[in-house]
Amino acid sequence: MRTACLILFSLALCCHAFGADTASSAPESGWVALSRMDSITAKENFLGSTSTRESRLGHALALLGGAEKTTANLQNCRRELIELRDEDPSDDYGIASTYYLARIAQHYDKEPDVAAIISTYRDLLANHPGHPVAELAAPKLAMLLLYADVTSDEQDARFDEIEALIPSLIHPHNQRDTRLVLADALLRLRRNHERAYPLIKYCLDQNLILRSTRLNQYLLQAAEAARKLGLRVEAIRLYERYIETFPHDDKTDEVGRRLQRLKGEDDHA
Amino acid sequence: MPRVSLRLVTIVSLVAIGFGISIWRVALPWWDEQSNGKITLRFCHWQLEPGVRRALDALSRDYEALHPNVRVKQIAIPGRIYRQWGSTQLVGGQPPDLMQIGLGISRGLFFDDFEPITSHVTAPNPYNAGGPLEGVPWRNTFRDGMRGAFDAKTMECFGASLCNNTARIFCNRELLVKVTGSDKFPTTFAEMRQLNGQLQAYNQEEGTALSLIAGSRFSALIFFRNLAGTQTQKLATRLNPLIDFPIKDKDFNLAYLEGAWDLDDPAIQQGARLTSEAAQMMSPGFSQAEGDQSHLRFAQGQALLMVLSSLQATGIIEGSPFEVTIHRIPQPQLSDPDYGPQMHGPIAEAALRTYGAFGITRSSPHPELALDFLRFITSQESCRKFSRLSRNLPTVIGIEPAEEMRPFLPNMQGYPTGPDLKTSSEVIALVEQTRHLLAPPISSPEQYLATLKVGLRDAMHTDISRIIRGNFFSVRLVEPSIAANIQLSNTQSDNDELISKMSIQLGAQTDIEATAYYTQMRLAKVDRRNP
Repeated sequence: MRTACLILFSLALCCHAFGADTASSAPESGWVALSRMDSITAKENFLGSTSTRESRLGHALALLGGAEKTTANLQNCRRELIELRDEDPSDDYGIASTYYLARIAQHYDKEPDVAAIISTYRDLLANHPGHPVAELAAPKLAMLLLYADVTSDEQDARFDEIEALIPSLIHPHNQRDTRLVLADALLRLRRNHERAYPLIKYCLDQNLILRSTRLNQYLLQAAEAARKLGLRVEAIRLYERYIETFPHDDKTDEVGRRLQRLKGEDDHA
Repeated sequence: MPRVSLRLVTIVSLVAIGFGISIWRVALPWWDEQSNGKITLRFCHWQLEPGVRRALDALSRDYEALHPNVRVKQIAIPGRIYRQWGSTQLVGGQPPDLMQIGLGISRGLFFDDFEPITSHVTAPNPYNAGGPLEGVPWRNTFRDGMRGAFDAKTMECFGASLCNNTARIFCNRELLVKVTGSDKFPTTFAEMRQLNGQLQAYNQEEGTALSLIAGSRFSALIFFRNLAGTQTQKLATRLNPLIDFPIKDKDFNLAYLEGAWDLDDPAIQQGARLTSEAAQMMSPGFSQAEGDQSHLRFAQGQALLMVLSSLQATGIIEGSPFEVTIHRIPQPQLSDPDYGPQMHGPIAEAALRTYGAFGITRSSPHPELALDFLRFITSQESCRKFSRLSRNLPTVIGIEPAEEMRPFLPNMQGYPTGPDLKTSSEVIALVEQTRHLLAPPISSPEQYLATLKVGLRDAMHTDISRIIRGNFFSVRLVEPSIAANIQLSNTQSDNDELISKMSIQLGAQTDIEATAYYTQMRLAKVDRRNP
């Protein structure tokens, strides 16, 4: 009897383990498909196990992947995300649902309620510091606040708000993107090299800029800002890094000339 | 018994034979596969140049020799109908196994039609085994790191390419000697003008009607853009004080709407004059002519020069019964009294970048084989052969271009090109409709600019609005993919490839989104000022 119980227990354990494995692999393959923007396969994978909150989130996002094709997909996605959020707004899936609902409002609504979206982003950042999804709100908040038609004083306050937010971010991509959105806005709207340069320099020093077209742009931007701020040694270092990283760019020849001029000024000094 | 006319019998027989041949052609691959166990791999592209087709054919035969159970079929489709043909194949569910991506195929939505090969490009190409690139990740064996095959939104790779090009002038050397008494080719625009003068004198003396350049719509696009870009260098740099390099096309147009420059600007005036002068060097009716018409004119010795891309070299060189030399398009110099003042220097060409990657179609019955063929044709040995036969510059590293191909190598000395007006659809259409005013018999830059001015503001506004919408579309498109990668990275924090992909996707999305908001804000200000 004891042996039979042991065998049955072992069998039950195996079945449970197998079942658990299947359950965890279905969402995983759904995420892999969604990562490759194959929302049809992703939807099928998530549908197989919609009993978990993870699968329901995946299913909702797979519907979002097909939102350009039918409005029903968008409506169903929104409904599923609202349910997930209302059931538990504080777990990973509730936080993600809150974030994606704000993103949907921002990019799918004909006339988005920008104030409400900004408020959601601020809440996510304040209530869930360091959360991998909540923190994505930082650069999104920055661009909504900074590229708005407001008074100069209000704009100053917004620059300060985003700058103050940066030290609380822990994920490197959010640190980078928030800094770069802020730096770009400071340069585009205020021509403020002094405040923008350290933000770009941080990202370059930490090797956070991975995409080559982006690296090309910011290396050059930083070098020019350093030159304009009179930081010759840093400008020279950045120009040299540009030439080394992009030896075959159409700007490299001119960058070389600027580098020689700067070095000449150094020798002269 | 009723009499059947011989005519009817002939017609019916011909139709039956035609139908039979069609059935045989269609059924042959299927029959091969069924009866002989042979697999037919089909790939299509729009590179009709004989050298390219010959080179791809040679590589296909090499592959068949290595894999006797495979038959490789090349399908070359004219560029004019490639999009329609390709779309029909994709929608019909029976496209070739590999399709060249571009000319409207995929239109940015790669996942609907093509299988990504990202996971394979970090592994070595097995066909490089035993050579200097053994063990090198496939991606790193390309000069451009396969950048041309990566989708910027998803950071997925959708194929591999052997194609790249540079714009060059092809010259009939014998005719040049006849006209000028020397084979010295002009290196500056001033010398080009002088050559045109010599040709006109020759025409008068000899009673001939030779043109300097055998022009077509396509070659005019390359030639004019190359020249006009020199005249906006200083203006576009002034508009970009943040980095002191020329502003990009979209921002150039936006700056026009904001009133930062207008058509009275000396840069624009001189650009129009330069283009008008260049149009007078082209053969009559160039803006309606297709490439094959201009090629025929050149091959018949009715024109001294031809402007085209390096990919078309074999067709031109082999199709011309005279020696053809290849040169960079002569540009104005800083010392040029007319065009020098608007310039920072001759235009520097960017490094070679591949285009038109072969992507594996989603409905291919043999995706593994298609991938293997793709690896084969992009191995160092195959690329060397392709380059030699097609006279295309090698896209794979470690291959020295042949001596006769050196004129095609990009010249990176100089200053980046400035923007020109023909960058987005509405403005391009407007310029195309108006450009005849720059060419003989009218040749009036003033009339051209005055006519352009009427519709330019609306065209630019439409184009910029469309760009903003396109940017927001990209932002929406990639959101679920980013979400998935964040979710996956929670459980795979040591997967560097995944983390890097996610980081690049996020960076690209943020860039595109922030720029779209900034552009939208500027455009809204323009609208408030000019309701």
